[in-house]
Parts: sequence; structure tokens; C-alpha cells
Amino acid sequence: MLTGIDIGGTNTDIAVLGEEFIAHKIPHGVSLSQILKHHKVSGRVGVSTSQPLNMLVTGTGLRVLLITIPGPGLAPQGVAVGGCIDHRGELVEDLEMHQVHEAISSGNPEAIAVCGKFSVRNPVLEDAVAETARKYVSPDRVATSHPIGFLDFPARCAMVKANASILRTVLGITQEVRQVSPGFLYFKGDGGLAQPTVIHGNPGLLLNSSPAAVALGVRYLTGISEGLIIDIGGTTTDLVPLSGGSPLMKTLIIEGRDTLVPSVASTSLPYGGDSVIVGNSLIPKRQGNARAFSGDLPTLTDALNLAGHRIGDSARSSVPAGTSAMQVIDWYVDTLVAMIQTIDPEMLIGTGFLSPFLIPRIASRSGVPCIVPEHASSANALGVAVSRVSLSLAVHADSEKKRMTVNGQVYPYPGKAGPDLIEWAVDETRALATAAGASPADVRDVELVSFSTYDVVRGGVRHERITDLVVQIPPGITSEAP
Amino acid sequence: MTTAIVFCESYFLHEQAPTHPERRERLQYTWDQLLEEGLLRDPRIRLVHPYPAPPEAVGAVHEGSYLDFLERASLKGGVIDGDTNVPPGLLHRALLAAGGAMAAADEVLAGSVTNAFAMVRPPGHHAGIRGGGGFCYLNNVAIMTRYLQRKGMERVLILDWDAHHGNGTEEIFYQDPSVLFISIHQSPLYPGTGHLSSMGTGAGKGYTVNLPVPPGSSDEVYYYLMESVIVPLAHRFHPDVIAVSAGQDNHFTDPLTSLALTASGYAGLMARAVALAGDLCGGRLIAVLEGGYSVEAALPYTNLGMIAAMAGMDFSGIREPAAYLWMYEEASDPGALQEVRQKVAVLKEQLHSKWGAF
Repeated sequence: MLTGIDIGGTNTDIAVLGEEFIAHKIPHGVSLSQILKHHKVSGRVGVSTSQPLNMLVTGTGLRVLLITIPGPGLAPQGVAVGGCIDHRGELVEDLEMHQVHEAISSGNPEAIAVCGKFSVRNPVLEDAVAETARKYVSPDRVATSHPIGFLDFPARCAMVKANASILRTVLGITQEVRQVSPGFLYFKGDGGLAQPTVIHGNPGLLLNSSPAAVALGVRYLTGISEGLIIDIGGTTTDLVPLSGGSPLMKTLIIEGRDTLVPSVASTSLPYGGDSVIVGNSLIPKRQGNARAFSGDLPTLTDALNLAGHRIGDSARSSVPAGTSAMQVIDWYVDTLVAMIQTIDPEMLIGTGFLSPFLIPRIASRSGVPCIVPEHASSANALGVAVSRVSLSLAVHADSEKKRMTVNGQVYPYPGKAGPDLIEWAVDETRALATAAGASPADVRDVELVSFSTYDVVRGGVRHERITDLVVQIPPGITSEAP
Repeated sequence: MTTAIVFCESYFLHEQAPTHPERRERLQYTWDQLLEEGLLRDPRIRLVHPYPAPPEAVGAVHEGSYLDFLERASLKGGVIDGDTNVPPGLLHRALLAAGGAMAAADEVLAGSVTNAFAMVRPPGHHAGIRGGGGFCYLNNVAIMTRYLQRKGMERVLILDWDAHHGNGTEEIFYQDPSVLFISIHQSPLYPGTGHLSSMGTGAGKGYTVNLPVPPGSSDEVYYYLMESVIVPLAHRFHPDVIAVSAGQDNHFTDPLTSLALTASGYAGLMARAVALAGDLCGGRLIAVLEGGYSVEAALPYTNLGMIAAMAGMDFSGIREPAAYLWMYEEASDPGALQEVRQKVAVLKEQLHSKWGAF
């Protein structure tokens, strides 16, 4: 049995896929623990959440101090402290710990992010700063950059700052879900599942998971490989292009800075079923539910009811005096059609609760054929349910230093270099994925993404070798999906 | 300012022998540093892929018989000199290095960037008309210079600050008044050429300027030469473009030389060259990597410093880690500047008839 839980800004959706398909939609305001008390989840449980992203977008995250250990190089971001790890992971300048204390004392932060250059080759300085930081703020408000795992100091700075802001929320969600499902997995922005311990090192992996979830859900429901998913939610409408059966990938931008974290490409329109009506159009704002769902202010959902649909408690729906419900709907449809025309898709695939009421109208107006699959309103949760464990291991091994890091974490050096290390990395990937709950069929194919190895020569003598490689189990639909 | 970096992973692949000083490791740590700095995503940087130099471009510099030799030797291997052998498959990699310099020129000529750095291997400035040597096979900067001239850049200033004299480049342009070749190099050192008195011949007399510097020469010597010789001569020559043979073996940790330039000095030197290009030729400057063998202590920082200076970035934080600074004390010689001042006085007298007082 596969269970997907999608904690959105408006609803929490649960999809259970076993001998039959069961879906639940729980409105905003009900806590996760209450939901899980009433809806027993079983089998493998995947959880996606837009809460961390919403915190960042709405600016309700914590006030974060970014402490950097830039060493020699380009002008640093954040508050820089002395100390240096070089490209080989060697400690070549000691940490100026008094500067760390000064930075925190004068910054009075709510959370602290730590980013050292080349920390993914040796995290010792980042760990030392973090240890000190935890004396000033609680441990769930301190994040380090090395678990992000790749070379790019500015990108890690951007990501770790977000991580420090959202870590506490993510730990809270983990605690709640674990009470009912100890072995649950998180659904990432790239469309794969990962263990909570992986996510706690880099909670930014959760960001923007909604487009990935809906893309997987649509692929499972329809098998359509070319088209444009239009996912109509309460707060936003997201457009997710599909090409060759997969969504397009990009990297995640936070506060205008590229984090290099892989994420499904989508375009978001700031209007959805709960957007408030003003005049004959909508404002990009959600102020509670639609009137049809016990809210106070008339929304797009209420306009649909006045146009003849029966959504929720349609008798409660109304629109402001002087407003034409049809003109509100036309305004939304036209806004969306203008965006669709810039993408020029072969087909529209509607998902989300309101899609059966709006997608045919959008298709007719844009001249593009459409489909609203069965279970369209649960496509996101379904996508989470059918996803599989995905894992990427970036290995850097220095046989001279007898040092190895995997995704920025120090690993015992396995005594292998060059091509011999590939086999080790493949086995390790399989072991980690299996430990996370992946089925044997899902770990069969491990891709070698990149490999390079070269000699370290000193004094005209070949000393040892440095090897870099990346292996992965890419995201996709689990072989366990019925 | 926008700077093109010409690079591809094929530049890692050239290998004369696993332990040769001119080996993959030279660029590997630099590449790591550029990745970690996020430099390649900076809007001021444009990464450009090279192409193999076409036969006519190479033939404009090197004799056909030498190119035939390289082609034959590239099949099964061959030897040029004690330091330079021809590993199988060499010719394609050498053409890709020369084409990298041409690709850098393309970007600058098209105006898509202000300046460009061809971060190529193998290097080229010891390669002459009829043969290679000193780790070099094809003269990348000379092939690019002739290419630039065919594209309408008539007057080219080549500034070669590799620690070794650019004897190949000097030979190629020795009689040519369209190219002002200025070389700062350690003396004595391989290849043993580049004397103060070697100034060009025929129509090219006065268009070769050699600035030999003694061991221990540090930033101040290079800055002095820039201000007292290179800048005034460049103003008289008025180039259409400046090419820099950007060797980095003048660093104080380099195992093959005895100079004492720092990463900061390297960035400062490039900043001066960039300013000169701004004053004289619309900023058009193309740097081509030559030597540099201190793979860990120098190259990640000198390459970064040079690129930062070219792109107009703040390079005040670019330096070597403290763990290496003791080597500077051993390498630098404060007396070098005085010796160089005396040589410059002699040089100015020699060049007076061509360039007047400067």
C-alpha cells in the first residue's frame, strides 16, 4: 500500500493507493496530528509540504544571520570570519572563533546559517562555528552548508540561509508525522523521496515540491507525455509543462539567488479558487475559504456557483453588488489563456479541485484540447504516493589525504580510488536507498552521472589519486505502484 | 565589464607523462576554485567552448613541414626536446588550445564581452615557426594574433609575463612592426633568450622589447615595469587589441622558477593591463594561459585573481592561504627592483631612436 500526504497552503490531501484508491481532502486549519488521528495511514508513506516555501515567500521565516568562512577569494557574503579550508579539504588557516562570538553577539539573530568555502571537502570549520552558534540559539535554528553537498559557495550561502529559517518547521512536521508513521519519507522538489534525516541536513530539498508531485500524479493517471498541466489550487494556479513524459527541470531561486537545487519548472499565477473577488476580477490574495466552504468573502469558487455549478455549500455563495460572476470567471480564464498561449502546448491536463469546472472553458477559449483525469483533485497526493526513493551521491575521494566526502559529509575512506570507487558508490547508493525503504526493483538501475580521476604529483613522483564521481537513482514512479 | 572564459574539460586531457610539470593538475584545482566561487554563474562571466584551430590559421604562423611532423608524431608519439614529447593524439588537443585562443578573440571582436581569458592547455609561447619546445607545440597567442589581424585588428600588443622568455612568439614577430611584443621574464632561465639587446630586426626593429628580471622579483618590480615601460610604449604604439601571454609561473611558490609575484600582484598586474586596454583600444584584451606549475599554492588564486580583475570584480580578498606565506620570505629579493631600474635605464636608451623619450 502506498500513501501520499500533500500538506498544501489551503488543504491537506491524502491519497491511499492499494487494492482501491482512497482520497481525502482536509481543509486548512486542521492540524496534521488531528488529521492523522482520523485518517489512518499505512504502507509506505510519503509527505510533501509547501509550508517551508510559504514561510520563505511570505517572509514569515526567522531573522537569519549568515556567518561565512570565505578564506581567500571573491568578496564574501554575510558576516565573514577568518579561517580557511582549501580545495583539497586541508585546513590552511585556523578559525577566528572570537569573530564568531562577535558576529552573533552583535547580530542578535533568531537563527544562524554557516557557510564555509570548500566545506563540502572538509566540514570541520563549519561544524566548529555551528557548535558555538548552538550556545546562542536552539539547535533547530542552526544550519550548516556542507550537507548541501556540491561546490558553489554562493549557492550554498543562499540555500543554507533558507535552511536555517525553515529547519525548525520541518523538524516539527517530522515529529508530528513520525508519531503515526515512524518510517515516513519526505517528497522532494525534484520528485523523489528521501529519509527525514537527509532532509534535516538540507531542508531546502523540500521546497517547490508541488509541481513535481502533480507531474508524477498526472503521469501515473494519464500516461500523457506531452502537454501542460494546469493545477488549480486555492491560492495559486500552477502551470507545469511535460515533455517526453517528464517535467522540465530548473534550479531553485530563493530571494533572487540561485541555490542550484534541482526543482521542477513551473509558472505560478497568483490566483486560485480562494482568491477574493474585487469588481469583476480577482486580487492575488487568499483571506480564508470561499463562502461556499464557510468563508466570509466571495471568491472565484463562489463565482462558479453563481454561474450554475454546485460546489460545496453553493447556497452560501454570493458576489459583491455590481459584480458579474461570469465576468469574474472570464477574467480568470483570459488571464490564464494569455499565459498558455506563450507556452503553446499540445494538450491541457487539468488537476486540482476546481479543474472540472474551469478546464473545459479554458480549453475552449485557448483552442487546445484538454483532459481532466479521474482523481484530478488528488493528483498531488497521488504523485507523492507513487513516487520512489531517489538518491544522488557526490563522492570526492583523495587517496593521499585518506579523506572522502559524500554529499559533503565525511565518510570513512574505503581504500579505493579511480574506477574502483564507482562500484563502491553504486553499492552504497543501493544500500542507502534500500535502508530508506526502496524496493529491490527501484534500486536496480543506478546511473553514473559523472566521473573524473587524476594523479596527484609532488616532486615529480605520482603520489596518489583524486576521484570525483556522481551516481544516482533518479526520481520516478515506484515499481510498487499498482 | 563582461569576461569570457574559454574552457572545456578536454583541456584536462593533454598529458605528456603522468608526472610531467605541465599536467592536468595545473587546471584541476583552479577549476574547483572557480566552481566553488560560483564564478561561472556570475553575470559578468561568460563560459565559451573552444573549437579546433583550422589549418589556415595554424599555417599562418607555423611552417607546413613542422605541422606535418606534429601530425605524424601524433599517431604513435614522438619527441621534440628533453622537456617536450608528443603523446599520441596531441595534435587535436594542441589545435583545441589554439582554437580556444581564437574563440576568445571571436567573443571580443563580436563585442559580446569586453575581454576574454583562454584557459587553455597545452601552452604555446615557446613554439616557433619551425618547431615546438618547452612544453609548447602550437603558438596559441601568435595564431590568435594573426587571426585578429585578418579580422581587421591591425596593431596587436602582446604582453608576455610568463616567467620564461616567449622565444617562439618573439621569433614569429621579430621582423613585424604590426606587433609590439613585450616580454617580462626571469633571467637567467630557460630558454636563455630574451636579452635586453634583442629588439627586433628590419622593419620590426624596436617592436620587440625584452625585460629580463632577476630571481626574487616581486609585485613591485612588475608594477614598476608596467608603469615605466609598458604603459608609455603602449601609448606610443596605440594597439587595436592587447594580447597577454598570461603565464603564472612567476608566483613565489612556483617549483620551476625563482620569482616572487603574489596572487594579489597578479590581479593588480591584470587590472593595470585591463585599464590600459580601456584607455587605448576599447577594452579589447585577450589573455591566453601559458605556464604555471605551482598547482595548489598558486594557480587557484592567480587564475581567480586574473579573472576577477578582468571582469571588474573586487579582488581585494584574493591571496594565498597563510600556510604558504613563509615561502614568500624565501623567494622575494628586495634588491631586485634596483637591478631592474638600472636595466630599464639602458633599455630606454636603446629604444630612444625608435620610440623617443619615455
